[in-house]
Amino acid sequence: MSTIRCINGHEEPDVRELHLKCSLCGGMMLYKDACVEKIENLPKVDPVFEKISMVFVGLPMASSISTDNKGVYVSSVLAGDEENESVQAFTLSRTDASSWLDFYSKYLGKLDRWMKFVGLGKSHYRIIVVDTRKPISVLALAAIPSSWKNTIVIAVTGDQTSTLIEQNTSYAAVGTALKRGLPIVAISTSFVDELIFYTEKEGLVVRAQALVPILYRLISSIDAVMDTMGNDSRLGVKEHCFSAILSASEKVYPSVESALYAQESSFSIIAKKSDITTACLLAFAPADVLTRIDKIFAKYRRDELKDAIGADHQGYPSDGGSSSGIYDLLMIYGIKDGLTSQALKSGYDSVASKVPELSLARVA
Amino acid sequence: MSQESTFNLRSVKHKGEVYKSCVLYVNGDIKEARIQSTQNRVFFLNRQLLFLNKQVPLLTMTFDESTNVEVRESWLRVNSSTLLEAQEKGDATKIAELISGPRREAEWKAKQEMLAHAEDSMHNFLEVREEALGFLYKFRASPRETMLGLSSKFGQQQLVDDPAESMIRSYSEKLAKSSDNVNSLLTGVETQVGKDQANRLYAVIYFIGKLQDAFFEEGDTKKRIELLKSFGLELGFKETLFEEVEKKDGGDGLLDLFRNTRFVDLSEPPLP
Repeated sequence: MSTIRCINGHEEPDVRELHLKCSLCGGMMLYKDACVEKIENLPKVDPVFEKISMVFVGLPMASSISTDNKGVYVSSVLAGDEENESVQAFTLSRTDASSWLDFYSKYLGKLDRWMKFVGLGKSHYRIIVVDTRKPISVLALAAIPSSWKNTIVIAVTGDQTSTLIEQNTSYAAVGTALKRGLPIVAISTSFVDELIFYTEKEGLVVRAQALVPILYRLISSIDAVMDTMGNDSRLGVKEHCFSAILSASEKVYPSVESALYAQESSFSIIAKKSDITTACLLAFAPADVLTRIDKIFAKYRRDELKDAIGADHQGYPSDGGSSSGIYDLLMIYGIKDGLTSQALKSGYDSVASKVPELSLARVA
Repeated sequence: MSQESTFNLRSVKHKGEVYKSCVLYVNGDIKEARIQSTQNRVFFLNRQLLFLNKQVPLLTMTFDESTNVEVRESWLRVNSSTLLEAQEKGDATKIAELISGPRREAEWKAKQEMLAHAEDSMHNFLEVREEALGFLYKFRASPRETMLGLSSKFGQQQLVDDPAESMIRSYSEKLAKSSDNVNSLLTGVETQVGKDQANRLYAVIYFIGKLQDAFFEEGDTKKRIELLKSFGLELGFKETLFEEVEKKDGGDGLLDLFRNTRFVDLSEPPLP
């Protein structure tokens, strides 16, 4: 409680006690100043927002993430039968929208508003996990305010296995993200379709659901991931892909070195070693394995990443120190400009030549 | 039958003329004062000298809230135009009380109105504060739900970068405006009614504000209410109010408990 003085300047000895008259001189206690100081100004409130906001666009894995991650706010943007909004999801009605341009034209203002009203901007980091083949993807990426720094896009992109309209949509979505300066980590549809992981925590997971353990690794190493993305952005590198080996052990790989070499055979999009401009290894392993990875990575960088502008690694000790020596490796690569869209360009052009409205130029 | 008070006056000065030995009749019911001059006439009747006291109406005046009476010793000046000299100081005071009654009553009513107006503005201020604290309470507990709940408060086309900040700013502005109004009215109370009453009203604002805070702040609400109780009783709030306050499990609707309570009442009654 604030100090209240009487007309003769005496303070009440016990600040918790309030009186109309001064207990020392009997003079009037003056409350006007105390009112101005304590009552007329609203108390400051600092609500706790989750450090990471994660938005799934056109992907159904939100519930897999939200169950046990207190520091992560998870929400979804989906197309459904009718429009609806809640803290957990924004559902767009697909009744009178089919192409990405329909959704973009109809919902841009509303989605932008929803993103602000659920406080996506209040988190320190944002991860947008988007299926760029879905017609709501362009809209979702266009709605992200450019003032939101520390935002990355995990983009499931179309490829030659996708339909032409999916390629057109995917190309427009990737283009929209890049135009807005959002760094993307691309994962091709074919890569997702072939994904299969067995992890101690999640068990056997396949296809899109197998992205979940990868997302968990990204969440737990978010500071390093965002640092990498920030550094790459300053170097002009906006496009990324990754490779991952989860639940590696000596039973599967004779050495940590062999696992490190093995992971480079599975880039998340079609890319060659010469396309790599930067690399960042995230290792999740028991302490003794991390020590070995430290040593081996120095050699690996010299031998295999000699043309990369930058290559770094970060180790994260496994929770509780897994006695089985199981470890995960996740390597994020910065890649050359345009590589993400390369496989989509012909499909995009093919559609845009027939339906000129479905052109990236329509996105403001 | 109307009540009339009679006073003998030593003199009356009116329109430049001085009249000695007058009688003043004051009728409080019809708010009328009559002055009659006593004329002594001497004449002979059947060779006898006769003295005759005859009362002649000199002046009739109605008095109302605009009638101004100044008293000094046994002298009274009524509306600057008429000077009366009572027999003694006590009479002068009684006459002044009677004649200035309507004015004092009007002033008393004006003060009561001013206080009522000030109290209304205090209620309004504390209501805004209650609403603002309620919002902040929810915002602190579940920020995203609270922010999304604000969506309907802003127009669909309204651009809002940070709804919570906008809302807090809006509440702060409303509170500042409302507080300016309270301060302006309480300055009037201080000048017209008295410092004690104005300070008492500030003390009431402080007390209710602290009660609101007791529900808003984290920790032991009951203990904080208990600390405020003796001050509340000193301010004239009833024990039962605290029973009601203690029953509440949140700050919403706290002000309703004060809805029909006068925070300060002028004890000075109007004239009989």
